[in-house]
Amino acid sequence: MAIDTGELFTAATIDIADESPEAVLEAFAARGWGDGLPLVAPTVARVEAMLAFAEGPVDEVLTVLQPRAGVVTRRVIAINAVLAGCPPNTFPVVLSAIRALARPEVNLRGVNATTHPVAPMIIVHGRAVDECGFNAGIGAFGPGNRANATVGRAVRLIMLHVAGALPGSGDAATHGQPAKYTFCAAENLAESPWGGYASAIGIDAPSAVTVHCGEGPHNVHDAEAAGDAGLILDKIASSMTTLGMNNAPISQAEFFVVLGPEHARSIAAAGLQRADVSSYLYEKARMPAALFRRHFQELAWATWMKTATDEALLPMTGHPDNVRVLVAGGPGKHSLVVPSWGMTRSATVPVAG
Amino acid sequence: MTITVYAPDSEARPDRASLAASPASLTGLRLAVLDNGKPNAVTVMVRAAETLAARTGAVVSLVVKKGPGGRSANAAIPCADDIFDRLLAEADIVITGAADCGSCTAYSVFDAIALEKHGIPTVVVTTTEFAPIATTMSADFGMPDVRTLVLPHPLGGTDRETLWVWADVATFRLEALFLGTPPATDAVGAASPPTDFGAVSAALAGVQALVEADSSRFHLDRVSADGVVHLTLLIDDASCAECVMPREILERTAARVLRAAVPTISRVSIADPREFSTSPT
Repeated sequence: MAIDTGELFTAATIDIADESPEAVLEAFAARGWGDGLPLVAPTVARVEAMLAFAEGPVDEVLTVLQPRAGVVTRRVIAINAVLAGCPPNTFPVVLSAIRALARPEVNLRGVNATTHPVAPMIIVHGRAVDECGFNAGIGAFGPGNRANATVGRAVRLIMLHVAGALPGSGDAATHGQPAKYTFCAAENLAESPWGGYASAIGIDAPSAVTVHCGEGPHNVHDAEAAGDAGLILDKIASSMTTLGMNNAPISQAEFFVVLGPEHARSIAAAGLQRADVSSYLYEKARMPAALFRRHFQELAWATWMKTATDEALLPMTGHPDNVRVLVAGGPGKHSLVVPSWGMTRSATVPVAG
Repeated sequence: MTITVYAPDSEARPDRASLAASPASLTGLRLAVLDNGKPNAVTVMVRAAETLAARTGAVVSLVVKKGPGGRSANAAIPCADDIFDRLLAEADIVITGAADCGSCTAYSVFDAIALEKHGIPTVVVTTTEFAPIATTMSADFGMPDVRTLVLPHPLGGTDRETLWVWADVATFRLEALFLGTPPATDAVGAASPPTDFGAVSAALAGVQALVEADSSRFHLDRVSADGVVHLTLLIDDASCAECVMPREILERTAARVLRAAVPTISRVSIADPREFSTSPT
């Protein structure tokens, strides 16, 4: 993964008929580029505007993305950010998300190649949320906000163009999923009873970005619990306990639990801290060992789990720390569970251009 | 007015490497099976290894899962270091797989390249549906001619007897891959134009009719760039083996049937299990 500092790559240029959406889309689609949606022409002027937010040499090779081993430079990131329609000041967030995805524990080679519909979820933390106008509130994972929509899209375009995650060759996903177009939201720090997620895991920076490679969000609706933390959490645990997700046979796999502010308030009012939520869900999201064994020939389990008798209730993940908790979204009695692809770990990095 | 824009892709810079030197003969060589735990992977690979050993004088020296200590296997990560070291110490050639999903294809190819770099010729067992992914990954990882044995799809959920037939009929291709005698594109079907494959697949029903009454069927393995259609004959009921027409007649008749739909077909080549031993070893 490591590339010698000082290695350079100069992006190529092409000539296209004109700057109309039709001409850009036709020229790029003919070359196998793009995600199928209209693209913004990456002219020199637009790319330079994006690179005004770069903090280092623009053609320096920073890393490579698997499986294709495509090189990453700030300019390559900027080109794809322009294509996606990103506001220029989001450039450092896109670049930082890509730096995170290139980390070895993410296992991007597997993430991109698998038949599973995994997509990287991008969560933005801290000062960048307001500075760039990310949506952390109502509909945070939905449409209507430029920063959320375009930063997530830029990451996917970089997977396609640089990592080589082309459906049918570098991406074998049986179905894919809508989150493979864009999957980005901001943490709702103002509504979090426990402070920010990034600082809680030791990332001390004004802004940070988290990547988690998993399924699309599974909704958990609880309007009945009347603030009873245990009932809310039991329902979340129920959503985490299914045999069809890769967390079931892979104990190192994480869950991201995105609590809606109302659920978070109810849980915090019962005196639970962030780590307590993780511990509770670790304890409650369980199935009999025999059930796991019946369904999986190979169980990528922590060693201690393999010693369990068939009657023992085993957790859906091997350690409470694998249940990652943060707050996002707006009013309403909903939370989200985002299961993992499995052989991947999330990564959180400071935002830097 | 013409405008200039940037291209959004970038150069691929994998660590490029060449295949290990191929042996002149397999006689006496130690053959290992590296199992990634995919359903039926070890069943089909061990059968292929034992059949190859029986015919060539190679020795099956090790059958092992790729996880730490060989106690487990996870197809979506590289082979564990201790198992890799055992392969270096206890094998001259390796069969690994199964590359019949996305991430397991990526890491089967990844492991094979690592072994080839250490001088150990390694064949990746993949399936018709995932051969294109194996081809892409081989190129992406810097060794475009990774030795790849393409079997019918799917391995998971297919009964043992059928898997054994697939392994047996592939023995000559497997040997050729280790010896480095076939062209790599032929080995993985990379030169097959996808449209031709689809057209042949669509026309296959007429060929199936030739053997259906005898409890048999054909699997379409691949279509070579030179228009040769490669089929594997699958005899579901062994008592019907003698009822099925001889291979040469099937090949001529199938070619005539398929040419009516796809005129560019040059000939049909059928892998016929009746020409190999299928008794359990």
